[in-house]
Amino acid sequence: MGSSEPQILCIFQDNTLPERLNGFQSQEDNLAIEYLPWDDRVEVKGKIKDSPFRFDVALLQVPDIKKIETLEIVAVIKDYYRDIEIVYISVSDDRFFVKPQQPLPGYRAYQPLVCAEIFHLLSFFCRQVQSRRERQMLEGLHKLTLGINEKSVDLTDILKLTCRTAVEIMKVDHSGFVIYEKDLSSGRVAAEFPSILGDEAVEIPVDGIEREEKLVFKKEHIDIQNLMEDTTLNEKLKAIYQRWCIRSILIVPVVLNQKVIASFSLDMMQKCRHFYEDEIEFCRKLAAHVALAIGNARHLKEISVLYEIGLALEEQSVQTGDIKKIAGSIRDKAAQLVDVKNFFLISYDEKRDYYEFLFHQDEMDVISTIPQEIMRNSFSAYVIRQKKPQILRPKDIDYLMEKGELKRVGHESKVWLGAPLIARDRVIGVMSVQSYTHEEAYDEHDLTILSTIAGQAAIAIDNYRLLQDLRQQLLQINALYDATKVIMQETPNISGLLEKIVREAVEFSRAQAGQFISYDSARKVFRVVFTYNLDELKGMEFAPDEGMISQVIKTGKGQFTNDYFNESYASGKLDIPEFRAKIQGMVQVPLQWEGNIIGILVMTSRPGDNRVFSQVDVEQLEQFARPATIAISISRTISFQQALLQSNPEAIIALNNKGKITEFNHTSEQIMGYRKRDILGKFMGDYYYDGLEETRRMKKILDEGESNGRPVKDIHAGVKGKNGDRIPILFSGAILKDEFGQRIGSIGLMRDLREITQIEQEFHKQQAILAELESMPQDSSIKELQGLKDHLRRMLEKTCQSCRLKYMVLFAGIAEKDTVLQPVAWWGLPEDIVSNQPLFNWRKTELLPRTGDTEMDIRQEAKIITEWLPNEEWRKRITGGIRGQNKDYFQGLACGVPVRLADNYRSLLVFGPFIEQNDLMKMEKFLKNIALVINMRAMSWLQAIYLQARRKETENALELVTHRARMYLQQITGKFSLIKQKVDRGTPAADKAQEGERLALHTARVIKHVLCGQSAEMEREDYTFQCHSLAALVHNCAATFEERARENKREIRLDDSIDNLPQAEVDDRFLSVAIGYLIENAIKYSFEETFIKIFSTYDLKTATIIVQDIGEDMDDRARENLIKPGKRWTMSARARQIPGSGFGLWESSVIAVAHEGHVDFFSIPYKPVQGRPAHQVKVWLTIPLKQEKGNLSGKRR
Amino acid sequence: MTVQRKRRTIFYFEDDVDCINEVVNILKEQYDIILAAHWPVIKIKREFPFDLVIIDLMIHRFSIDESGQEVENISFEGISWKRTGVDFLKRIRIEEYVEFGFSKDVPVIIASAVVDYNVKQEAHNLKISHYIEKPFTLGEIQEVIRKILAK
Repeated sequence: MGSSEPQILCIFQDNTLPERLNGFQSQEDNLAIEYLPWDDRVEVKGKIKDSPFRFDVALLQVPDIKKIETLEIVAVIKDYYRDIEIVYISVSDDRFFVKPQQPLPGYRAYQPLVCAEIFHLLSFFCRQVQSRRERQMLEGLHKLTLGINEKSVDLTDILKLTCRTAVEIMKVDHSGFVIYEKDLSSGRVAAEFPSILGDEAVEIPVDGIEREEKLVFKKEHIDIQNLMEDTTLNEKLKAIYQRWCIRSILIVPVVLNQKVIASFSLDMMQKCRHFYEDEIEFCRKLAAHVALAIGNARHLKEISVLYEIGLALEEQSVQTGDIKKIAGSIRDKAAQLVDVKNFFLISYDEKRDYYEFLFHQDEMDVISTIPQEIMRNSFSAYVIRQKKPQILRPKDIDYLMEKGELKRVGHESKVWLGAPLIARDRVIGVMSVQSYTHEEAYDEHDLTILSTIAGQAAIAIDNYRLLQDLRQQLLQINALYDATKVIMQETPNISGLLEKIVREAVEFSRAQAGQFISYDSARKVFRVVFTYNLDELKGMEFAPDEGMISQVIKTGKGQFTNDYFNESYASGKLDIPEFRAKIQGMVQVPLQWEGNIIGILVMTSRPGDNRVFSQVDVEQLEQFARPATIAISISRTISFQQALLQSNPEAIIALNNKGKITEFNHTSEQIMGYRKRDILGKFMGDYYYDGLEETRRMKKILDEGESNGRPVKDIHAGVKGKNGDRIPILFSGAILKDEFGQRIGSIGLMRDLREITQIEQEFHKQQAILAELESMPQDSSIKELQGLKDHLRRMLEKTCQSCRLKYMVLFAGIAEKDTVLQPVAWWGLPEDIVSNQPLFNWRKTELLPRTGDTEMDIRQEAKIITEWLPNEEWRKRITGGIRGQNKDYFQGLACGVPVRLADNYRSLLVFGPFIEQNDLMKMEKFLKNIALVINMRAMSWLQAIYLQARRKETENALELVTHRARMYLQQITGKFSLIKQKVDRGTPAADKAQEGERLALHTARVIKHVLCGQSAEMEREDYTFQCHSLAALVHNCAATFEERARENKREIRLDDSIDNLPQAEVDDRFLSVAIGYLIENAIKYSFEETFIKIFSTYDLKTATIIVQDIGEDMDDRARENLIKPGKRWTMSARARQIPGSGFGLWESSVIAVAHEGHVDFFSIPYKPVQGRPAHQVKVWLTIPLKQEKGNLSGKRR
Repeated sequence: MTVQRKRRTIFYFEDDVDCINEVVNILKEQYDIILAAHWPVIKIKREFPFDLVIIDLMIHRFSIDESGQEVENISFEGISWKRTGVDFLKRIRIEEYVEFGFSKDVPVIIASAVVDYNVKQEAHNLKISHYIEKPFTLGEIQEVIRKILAK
């Protein structure tokens, strides 16, 4: 058909119109129109008023309602009285032409009417049709939108739906979509309706085809009326059109984000015409909808793909141990959304300003290694500096290059996209793509996509690195945990730990060798204490200011170098060929604990092993050093605790909650006899001597202690030794709890009481011996030396037997300054030794200066000898002091204990060897006591015997003289008596005889009083009592002795109470002597650098003067010996004939008694003075203030 | 007939004759006095006991008697010469010398120059009638003897 021919085909319908027209009411008078659904056609039914004709009008297709003149209508006019006639009505140019195919009878008469009616009808009809078509288009778009929304995920479905909608609404034969490649170089048919291509992949080229380029790049539609005449088509396309008989075609571009992504075509096979504006407009609308749908679908897909990328990268970053693989995976994922023909993934280390290619793919350039300096001016570096995604086209690149912001690397690209990889606010790399062909290859949307992928990639890379760090840390922790576990469970051997640490560190840091350098605080040097793979270094020492160590100490931080021997701080010790061949790089990190460097961990690399150390290695090794430091400290603490535990002098046993033994230290082993390894894990109850009963008792005690909050201390118990014996112990213990307060066991300290018990028994035995010795009766027959010797021999015998000694000898000197002592008593010596006994010479002991004197300077030399010590030195000196014949016999003596009497060493008790082994240290006090008892007994009796002997001599002499004198006087008296008898009384001769007799008697009395030394009571008449101030008297006495006290390094302190003393009737001369003796006595027996206090008390009847000193003790024996017996020896003492001490008290006592008073003393222990045991001694003299006249026979003035 | 009372007999146990001779000579005017300290004089059996014994406590081993001869005085084994008088008295009290005129209860005067209080005390314990210290006067001894013999 030509272009003027009707375009609508006439279709006949069935004969059911009459029925369907029933009830039909036209809105107008003569026309009833009913719209009936019938396929996709519109029908108009009506009847012509007042005529037998009724008609059905079927409007088949109205391509363009506005162009009604081209409308062709098939109207069916029926004569209900006859057969149906078909009338063909053509409407054109506002004129109706009815061409009956078969003339109807009577039709002509009605023809004008029919035509008018039809015209009228069609006018209305056309309006309806136009409206309907518009509605159909809207509905079509609506349906399409709904369809798009419903099928938004699957783009192909959307496209197919669009094609179908277009075909249905536009009444075209075929519709299709071509989707273009991202670079718009070509397209492919993505959807069509109805399907004429099937599965055939049809590619539509763009480049070089004017029509397509116009469409793609200029975004203009293509309306071709007759394809066969189109010369712009290529042959392939033309063949396709011919094959499918496509004659006319309308193509509109599908534009998304200013970019043609596809084209939408409407094809007509039957007709050959241009498309109307409304058709084009509708197509554009459809294309816009589809673009939107495609955009949404793409967006959804992008989101989906990005999500998948995120998941995949996350998974890869966790599972893959190779960053390059992850980078490749990132590229593959990115390829789903952007063109990655040229793709780069670069990592960037901000601290080091270091670039590294993780992945690269380029069409033009082959990238191997780009120097860092060039990389720092690259596009990637620009993106990293800007920290924002960048899209750079030639003009942008030129501008930035002019500004010096960047330099081109490689071939010139049309468009370059780069997005920074940002993780945790740090730029860790850049991802970029570029196109060498089209500027339009990438747009802003691609940059967004790339940024999004870069974000995911950054997270993945960062995760990977974090994970690697975590893995590394985990490895380190595991290694340290294993090392610590080994230490805790097996041995606290610090060297084992160091080995572990160094080995782990070497492995961890991929070094060739490692060392641990420890600080020797005593010598103040650093010493290599452990080496791994470089044993030549072991034991080498470095000063704190030497080598890299000095840098580490100075900064307190780790140091590294990759060329040790070219560094200024390289230690000269290492600069020898041997080490030069083995050391290239070095990392040193300090191990710091509580602010102190306890060691340095050193990693080294060998020349040629390509191990390059960096700051990262230092940091990693420092991280490694922290747990290592803790482990070392723990190990040291454990070692220390273990050492403490094992070396503890007390037995320590720890139990768990089940009563099983978990710790058993060395002392426990020694006490109980079991080995630790044999007893660990055993039930403690089995080792109590009383078994379960004792176990329960101990548990109860511990529980009670726990609940009362009081420590369990010094509980007596008994454990079972290995030999089954009961071992008495003193138990102290506590419940052990963990950090949550849960009871985890108990710990107990045991003290072995066996030795204490033994010591106690020994002590009691010694006490008994001492008591026995002390209580040995002092034989009243000891009046001469032999008696004393016998007595002492018995004491020595007793001692030897009790102490199981081989022999004992007592050396003593009678004179107080003798340096040579004689054997006074002995026991256990062989006869030949007894017959020729040696002497003891103090000078030969070398304890005294070699002055050669035979007398000791008491006050000077007593200091040198000090106290006896139970050591070998003293034993040798004592042995050396034994001189004379048979001295060698005494070489094996056990010890010699000297004893002082007053300030002098007057005797020495030699203990022979013990028959059994004995510890002199433990016996020291006992032996001293024995020596004291025996020596005191010996010396007191020796002195007594000596004194007695002297007294007897004196008495004998006095008695003889007295006796003789009296006898002579008796003779004189007798003669005077005879004269008196012979002469007469009253004569001068008688008087003279009487006078002579009286003088003789008086002479006898004088002799008696002067020479015979009567008792004090008998001398009272010699005292002259007078009223004197006691205060003045005491002051005078004290003043007299002040200088002497000073010379002897004593100080006399006079108490204020002295000033309060009243007056009394005393003999001031004698009382001064008495008080003077008290003070002299105090000076003599007090210790140096002490003071002597004089004070007083008085009441109405008596006054007491007290002299107090700090020094030697005075006991009851002194009271017995020094005061009471003194009465008889007063005269001798006064004559200073008797050596020794203590006679002052006798004097004082005599004088006090003469004053109706008395002298006494009191002694209490005092704190040690100059290392010697001291006593506070108070000696007092009490006299009555008013003395009864009748009691006194002395003269009174 | 009036029987003249026999003169009283006194034994003076004294070794130093010289010192006491003057007094004894005067006393002999009133009493029969034997002055000696050596055995030959003492160990003479007597029919009548002495009326009084005067004892010196300290007796030397040797002395000169009234005739000027050196004599060996009494001494007791194990007893000091200073206590010979005491021991002699003890023996009198145990009737050791009764046959020689020393009766158990004879009054005894100690006349001594002894100073030792203990010896004095010991003598007192042997029931002495008086203790007189040398030197004493004639009057003193006469008074003491008179008083004792008058009892």
